[in-house]
Amino acid sequence: MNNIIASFFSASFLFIVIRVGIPLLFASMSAYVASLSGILNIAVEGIMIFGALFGVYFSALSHSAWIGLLGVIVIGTVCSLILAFFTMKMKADAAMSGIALNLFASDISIWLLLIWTGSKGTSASLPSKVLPTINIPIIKDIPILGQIISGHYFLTYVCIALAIFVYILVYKTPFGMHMKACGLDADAALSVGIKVNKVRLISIILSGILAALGGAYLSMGYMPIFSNNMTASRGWIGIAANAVGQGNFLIVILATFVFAIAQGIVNNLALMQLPSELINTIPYLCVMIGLIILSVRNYQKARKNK
Amino acid sequence: MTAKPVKKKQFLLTKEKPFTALQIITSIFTALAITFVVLALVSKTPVKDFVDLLTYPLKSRFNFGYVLVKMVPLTFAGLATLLYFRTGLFNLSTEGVFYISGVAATAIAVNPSILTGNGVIDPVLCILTAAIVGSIIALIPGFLKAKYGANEMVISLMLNSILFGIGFWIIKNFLAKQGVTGQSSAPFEASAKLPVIIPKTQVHVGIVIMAVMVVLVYILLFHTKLGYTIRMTGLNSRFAKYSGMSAFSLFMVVHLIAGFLGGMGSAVELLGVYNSFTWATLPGLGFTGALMAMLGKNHPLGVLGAAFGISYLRASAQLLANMSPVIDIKLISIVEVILTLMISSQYFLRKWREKQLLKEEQEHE
Repeated sequence: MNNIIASFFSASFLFIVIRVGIPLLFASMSAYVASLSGILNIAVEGIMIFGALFGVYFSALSHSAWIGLLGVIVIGTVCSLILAFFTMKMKADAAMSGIALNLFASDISIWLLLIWTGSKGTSASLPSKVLPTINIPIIKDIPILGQIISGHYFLTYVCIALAIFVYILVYKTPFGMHMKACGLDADAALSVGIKVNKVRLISIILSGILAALGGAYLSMGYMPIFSNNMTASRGWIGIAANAVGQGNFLIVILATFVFAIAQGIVNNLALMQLPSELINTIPYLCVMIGLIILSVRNYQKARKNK
Repeated sequence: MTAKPVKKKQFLLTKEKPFTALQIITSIFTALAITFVVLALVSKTPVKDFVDLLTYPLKSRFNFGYVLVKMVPLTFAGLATLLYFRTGLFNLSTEGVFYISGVAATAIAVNPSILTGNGVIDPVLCILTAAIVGSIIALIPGFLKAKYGANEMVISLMLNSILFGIGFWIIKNFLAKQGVTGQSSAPFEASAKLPVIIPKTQVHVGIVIMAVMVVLVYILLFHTKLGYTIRMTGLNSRFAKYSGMSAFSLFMVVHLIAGFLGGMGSAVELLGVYNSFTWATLPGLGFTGALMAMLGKNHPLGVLGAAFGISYLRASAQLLANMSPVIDIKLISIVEVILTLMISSQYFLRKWREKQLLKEEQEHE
């Protein structure tokens, strides 16, 4: 037991938290940029699946992980454009479209796997490529810090860079202000000359690319293959983390990493003789309790103001 | 060109109901056309595959029965979800409710000391237990929404994963066959199973229960005060207050009924089709139920129609999967996604309709 507790304070534990946290961060950033500009993107999970699948497929076709990654970005864009066309242009129900895309992604990925490999389980027979692992030159030699932040996958650093990019975009640029305006009140934004549709289109494309990259992280690094249901609700967790954050990017990131820490603890506990099915619910329970506390507080605040 | 009859037809099509029908039919044709294109890309015999897909359920009594069996859980999930949607709630907990209620039904169905051995009482006992468990579970997001306005969509999604973990743990540790560490439960007692009602098919008595529930939900929605409140609250969230019913109790009642329907559907599906509980993942019925509610325009009869249509293709694909290298039940998701996107689009064909209406106007002048 002491060993287990000690393991939570080790460098390798923090390394694992980053490892499991990055795909969640991709997902929550994806949900965040869309919801900030007033679009409900609940297709995060589905776009992640497509990103994971097509990263593997394109890299196997082209024998290059980089072309695979390019394909992932294209797929993310295409998915978000489809979503944007139906929800913005055709005024389809955003939630329903998202759910349909999620179901579609989860089913059709299995079918495509069957067509491409003859197996419904994994893409093991496709010769797909994996993005490199990066050892940061000087930092990797610093004792503890090096162990924690060096030696991650390429997309881990891309994710961190994108998080900084999103932060600057949202808080330091006029475009970020426009995004928030569109999210708060589209009519008001329109009346002061903001091109609501353009802002939203850009946001949703960004959202799609982020989700697809999250998928690619899973199948081109975290694992070297695509396997059936490999996103395992990570997209939904991202959406939940975004809901907890209520529009504040730093809280979204914090919520994501609280979840990642819970996941890391779960991974460690799994080594003990505990029922894994129950342990696996802990992260979801954390998010749910977080959401409940948040709504109770909002409720009490609203009552006080009355 | 014979202008006259054509014009008359168009005149009719711009009315509300025929227009909706036109939208649905166009969507179905588009969805099937795209499915054909996809088949043409991967299959050596696309035409044969496509025709098979559309006609296979009609080829034998068993096949058609299989369609009916498949539509039962989809209809139940659709009915449960349409109640949420009608009230303006976006709750997706039917997925988790299906799972945990199935576990509850299994707990009774594998336990000879609780069962009576009577072929009527036992299934009723199992189904009622599942339905009550479903209601109680659905009240969790229901209460949080009704009291605190918590985001029911995210909460219900998290709840699904939690219920799955708990349910699977119960199955593995308490309901598995003695001495076997598998992922399925012990077999159901024979007396708990739902009897097959059409010989040479798998069609079980669950389809009758389903039909009764469709009628009951129809009556509830369109012929009771509660149903009126539900519909009006969906249109305007402040309505409940003015109808004399608090929003709190309305939300609670809706969750209670929806959970009941979900739990019931789960037990009916398990006892009708399965011999033991074998769901090692979430069955996906809750999400598909949401699609059924949407495709059926949140109307009980619409849900029935949507469930039949989707089950027809799913059953066909599943039966053909062994014979064709390219057809699989997962292929039908193409049809599902296209139908959902197109039918939920408010602007779909609207330009055409406006043009027609304008033309009529000019002709009348």
